Amino acid sequence: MGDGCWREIERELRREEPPDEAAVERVVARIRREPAAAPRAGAWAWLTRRRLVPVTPLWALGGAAAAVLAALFLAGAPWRGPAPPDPALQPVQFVLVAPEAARVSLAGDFNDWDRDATPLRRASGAGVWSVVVPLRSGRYRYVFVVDGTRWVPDVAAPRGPEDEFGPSSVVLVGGST
Amino acid sequence: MSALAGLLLSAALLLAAPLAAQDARLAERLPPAALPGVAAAVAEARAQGLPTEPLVQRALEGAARGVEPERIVAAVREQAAQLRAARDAIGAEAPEADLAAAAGALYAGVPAAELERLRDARGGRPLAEPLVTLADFIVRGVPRDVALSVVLSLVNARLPDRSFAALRRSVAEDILRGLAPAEAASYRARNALLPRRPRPRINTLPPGSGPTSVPRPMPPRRPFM
Repeated sequence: MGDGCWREIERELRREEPPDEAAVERVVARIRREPAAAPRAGAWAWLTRRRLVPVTPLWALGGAAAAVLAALFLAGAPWRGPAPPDPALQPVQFVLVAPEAARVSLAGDFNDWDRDATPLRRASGAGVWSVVVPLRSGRYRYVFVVDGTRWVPDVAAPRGPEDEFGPSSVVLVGGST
Repeated sequence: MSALAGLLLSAALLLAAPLAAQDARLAERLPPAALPGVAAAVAEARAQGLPTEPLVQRALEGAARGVEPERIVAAVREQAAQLRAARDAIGAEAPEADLAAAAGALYAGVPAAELERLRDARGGRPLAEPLVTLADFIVRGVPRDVALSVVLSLVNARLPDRSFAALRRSVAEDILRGLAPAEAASYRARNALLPRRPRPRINTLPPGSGPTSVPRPMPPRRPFM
């Protein structure tokens, strides 16, 4: 194709078509016939109207951190109530008669031998101390700690043979019958 | 990455791995001198597939009682060895309670061969109750052979586990009353193995020996005169 042909094509593409006055009149008339949308008003309209809110990246990070903290708080929210009891745990009662003791606690395999973790409650004026501990099935060694210093085995329980640190008792939870 | 950087990174990873595997309770509660030895023993047990919680608890017990660090380390190592021997005797599939009880029996001086006999006699049932009873008797002074004989006889008789608990209580009470441990264990075991006598039925009482459920006939009433 020669240059003359290309110039002819260019001229044709650049040529502006005159507007179709009748078509414009028909479109305008149609628009005028359509019912106008009622303007949205009220609180819901205000809430749902889109807006552009400019924030800095620092504000955005702070907002995200606040959201994470709120989620963590809600996860441990006190109003959710206590967790349901674990069916795998069995209540085991420990009893010691120690009329002269001022305080008694348990230390054993079920509380990492922490003598402050499981205090016994004085059940009556006769010096009977007791506590109920939920335990999973297994074998546990333990002792009573009287007044924070005396480590006393349970006379009503089988003895633990592992005594290189001192005497202890054994409780078996669960198992066959 | 340069060779030196790679070497440093590898060394850091090797150091970090055992530290990360340490139980946080050990780091918080053990005396510093005991921590490396106990951590090494726990790591080795874990690598051999042994339960590690009994080892951690033994270390924590030592720390709570104020025991010297070297004794804590020695006790943890000894218990790991007993757990290993217990697993060899009663099987790797035994529950952790059975393994711990078997380790306790080994600690009390029960030979591993006897543990195998008990395992075979139990026929797959849990071993914790008989083993705890065995160890308890030995600690209370029952000679080892008598304790083994008593426990094995109950196991062979297939008595329920509550029989072991009742036997332990009875033997402990007898010993507290002054009976020799061997006699107490033998006597109570014989009682446990005796067949139960049937209870008498209420309506088999001899006639005239007491109230019966059969109403006596009323004497004929005299006519009113």
